[in-house]
Amino acid sequence: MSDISAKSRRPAPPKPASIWDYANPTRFLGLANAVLPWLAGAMALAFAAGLWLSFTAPEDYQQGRSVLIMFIHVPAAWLSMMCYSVMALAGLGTLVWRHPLADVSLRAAAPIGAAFTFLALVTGSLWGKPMWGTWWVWDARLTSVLVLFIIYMGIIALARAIEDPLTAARSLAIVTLVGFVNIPIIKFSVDWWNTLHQPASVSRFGRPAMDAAFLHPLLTMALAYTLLFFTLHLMAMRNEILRRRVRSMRMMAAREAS
Amino acid sequence: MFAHVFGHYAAYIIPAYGVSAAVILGMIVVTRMQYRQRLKEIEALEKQGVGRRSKSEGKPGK
Repeated sequence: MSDISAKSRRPAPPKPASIWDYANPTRFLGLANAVLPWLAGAMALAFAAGLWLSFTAPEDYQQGRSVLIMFIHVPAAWLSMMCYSVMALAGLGTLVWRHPLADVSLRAAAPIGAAFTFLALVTGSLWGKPMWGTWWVWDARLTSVLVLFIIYMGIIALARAIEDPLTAARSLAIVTLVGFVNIPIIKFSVDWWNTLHQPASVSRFGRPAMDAAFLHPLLTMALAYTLLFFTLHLMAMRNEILRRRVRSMRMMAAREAS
Repeated sequence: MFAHVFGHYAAYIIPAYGVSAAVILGMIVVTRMQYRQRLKEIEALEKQGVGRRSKSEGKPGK
């Protein structure tokens, strides 16, 4: 005992931080609680700047003021794919590295990704009606995003359906990784097939095919949505860790009672 | 008023921003409520004398 206390008094050499340092849920909760106020503040500032730039942007010569919908539709669509990519990485983390927080991250991200995909579909439909003359067409881009939404709903349902945590984690990781094939299909659907949806105008080689008056509000709103995602993801991961803690405490109480 | 700000597209712009704001605020509020609910549940279990495994088997964060 005295050896242990003597060792603990010696200053430990500084170690570089790695993802394994936060494998301990208690340590992760401490980090999340410290980071969240700053992240939320940055998100609020980015939203304020993004909305101000959006509503002071000039009218588009073809689309008029309906271009305002682009500033919320495009970031939602980007985040719907980025969120799924984070989940696929978490799926790899579960299957390959067996990181304890990988499954927590995957489960926490799924409802957020579903919400962003829902927003991309609804705002796209509200933009499509005045521009294309229709709420919906079964073209490759719209259909593949709808498939993404269905995959998200399937993952959420699967997470709630399987009781055993280990089986659930592996099943969710496999389903998520299989579903990842849809992400490049969404991205390149406008190049591979003849679609009503316009091709990429920001993330393309060379200069973006968009004037700075529209590009700046769009990128600021994209930053705001990205910060929103990370804020919500950290909050949801914190909730998932606490849910597991409640579950294990209830199981402990049941064992003690029996 | 809205026609002045949004032109002929007010009927599309307002629902698009309205739905987005409702979903984003809804996600923030629900996630926050779930956090408070979990903390209450843990507090209630600790009051019942149910300890976490980490308390009996070692200090957290080590």
